[in-house]
Amino acid sequence: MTALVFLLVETAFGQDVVRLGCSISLTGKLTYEGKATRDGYEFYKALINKKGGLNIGGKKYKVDIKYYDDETNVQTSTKLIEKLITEDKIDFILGPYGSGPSFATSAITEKYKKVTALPMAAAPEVFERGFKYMFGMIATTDIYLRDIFYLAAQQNPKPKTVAVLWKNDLANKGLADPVPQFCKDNGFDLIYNEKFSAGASDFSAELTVIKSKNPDIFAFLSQLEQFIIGLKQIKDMKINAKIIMNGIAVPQPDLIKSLGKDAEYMVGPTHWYRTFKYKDSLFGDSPNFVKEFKQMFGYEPEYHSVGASAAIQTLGIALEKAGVLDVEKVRNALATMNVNTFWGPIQFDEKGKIKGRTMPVGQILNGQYTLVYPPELAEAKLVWPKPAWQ
Amino acid sequence: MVILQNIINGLLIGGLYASVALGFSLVWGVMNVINLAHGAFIMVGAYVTFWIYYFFKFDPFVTIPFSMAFTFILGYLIQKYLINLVVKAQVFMVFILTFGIEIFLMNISNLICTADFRSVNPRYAGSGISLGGVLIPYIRLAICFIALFLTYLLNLFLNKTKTGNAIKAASLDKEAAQLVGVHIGRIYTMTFALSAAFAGGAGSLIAMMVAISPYMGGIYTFKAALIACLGGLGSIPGVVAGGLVVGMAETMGSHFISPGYKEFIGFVLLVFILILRPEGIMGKKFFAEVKH
Repeated sequence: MTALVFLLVETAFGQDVVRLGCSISLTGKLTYEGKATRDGYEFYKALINKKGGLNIGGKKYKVDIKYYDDETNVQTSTKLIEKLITEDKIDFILGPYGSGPSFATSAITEKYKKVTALPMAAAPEVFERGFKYMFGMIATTDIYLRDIFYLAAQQNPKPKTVAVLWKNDLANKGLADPVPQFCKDNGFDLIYNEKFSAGASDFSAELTVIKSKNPDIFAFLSQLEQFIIGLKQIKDMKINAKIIMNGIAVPQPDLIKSLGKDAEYMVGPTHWYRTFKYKDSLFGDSPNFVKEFKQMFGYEPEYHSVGASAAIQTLGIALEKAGVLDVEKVRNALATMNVNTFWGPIQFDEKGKIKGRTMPVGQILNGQYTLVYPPELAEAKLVWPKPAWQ
Repeated sequence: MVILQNIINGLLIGGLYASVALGFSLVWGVMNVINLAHGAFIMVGAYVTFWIYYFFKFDPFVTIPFSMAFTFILGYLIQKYLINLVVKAQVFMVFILTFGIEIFLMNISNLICTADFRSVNPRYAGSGISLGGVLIPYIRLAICFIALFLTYLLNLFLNKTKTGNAIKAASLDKEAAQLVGVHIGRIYTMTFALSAAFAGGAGSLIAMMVAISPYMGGIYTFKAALIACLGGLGSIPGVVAGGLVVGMAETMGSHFISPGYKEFIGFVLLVFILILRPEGIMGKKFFAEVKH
């Protein structure tokens, strides 16, 4: 036990340190998301260390994070996680961005029985493997679009037809899979449902078919890069659906920066928003989080960074609650956790998935992602129907 | 009407694909170098267009000469001071080197431009002409024409100028070309620089259609390799044919089979063409002869 503690804890400048490890995309296709996630971890680290560190068993520990760049390669990511565990002797792992990497790396942490906090694992498949050492901080993709479909069904005149075009990866498959059920629940007719390959950069053939069907609701499901390309081509083809939605990219500021007014009226869910009313003693409330984060990093955070801060904060709370740097005890502290933070109530189900999270709906209005649902968080009303392309 | 629209879509994207593969095919055909950094030059060209458009508000089409000039110089320097050093080594060495250059260019772009997605979105984006219900976006039409015009220019250069003929001579028989006074080192440098310039030009065109990021190029290297093999290595008309065939195959495959099999269809086509006509649609045996 003493040897274990010796491995886990380093003493730097007379201060005990708890070491966390993370393999994340700092180069490659997911650099943007990877860096945003890393900044979320770093923000927590700066704040908690400023307060003297974590109080574990009556002793203060500074937080240190060892990062490796997985180059947006899942195979590399799994190797690096193994390196963090076996060579760097780190027992507490911070997850990468995205469902695919989270799915792969959590298999390694589970094999070695190391705790991993997953900030951005959204595919339901991640939590369907009976794993005991991973904890996910966000809602899974099966409910991302649920409230958008509900909101659309409340409009007058009620839309009738739905087209879905989705990227064939774990996250977007998770978004598209429940769409037939959402259509059934809300009385819509699903007239087009096709996937495209992960590397696709031209959608003109698919959009031509969709235009000929003239859907009322159009879901283009992909990450930001392909959504930007898709929207340009949707405008080229003059597809005037009453609502155009995406499950991931709409709250990301780069969408507006890239497309300007062409991003206007896009609809998408978010994991977090500045009007969230939760607060805690470390970050304060959401507006305070935004203010201090911006001071430190020079840009406003969106849900990637905020979710990462929430994940590492949750792990920190579990370490304090366990009172020792023992993996099993920290794991149990997470499994039985019931706290309120600025991210909201934190409780996990038996699969390690956070309980009770919903996905508020936002629309880009006047060049800003603005919440339109649920009413208690909304800043504006949904603009319906989306004005036709100019 | 849908099928007609998709035929137009296939032709328009095919024209762009031709310009993407032009430089790749040239370098492979003349120098027997599989340039894995080709997509990175496309990315650099796209960034040149973006920054000029962003800072000076130039029309993106006007930026094409600038991006071609920039990537020409970049290609010239890379060939002269890096690739020429190993060009006589085994093919595998050059392969690794160009892979390294690709990683370097991506990471330096990431450092300078950050990984944020950028887009060139001129005022006329989204406008187009409608011919009996078939929509032709102006930008796509212009991109296709400019891509084909660039291809024509390169063809003209190779056939009508002294340097162009020297490039062709070097691709036919390196030793014989040297015997008649062609300086192979200089010709290789010129060929690579030209290839980079045309990749930069294609990047400017692509910038108007996609999201620009340091990692956008990889898919185009892949596509260029497919088109170059299909069309016939080193053959300019072959590149046009290959681009159009891939564009049409992807569009029609998406229309009749499923969008999910788009890329797959392109490669099935490649396998068939290589079985039936190993030198490619318009390739000739003397292009891309095996060099040691």
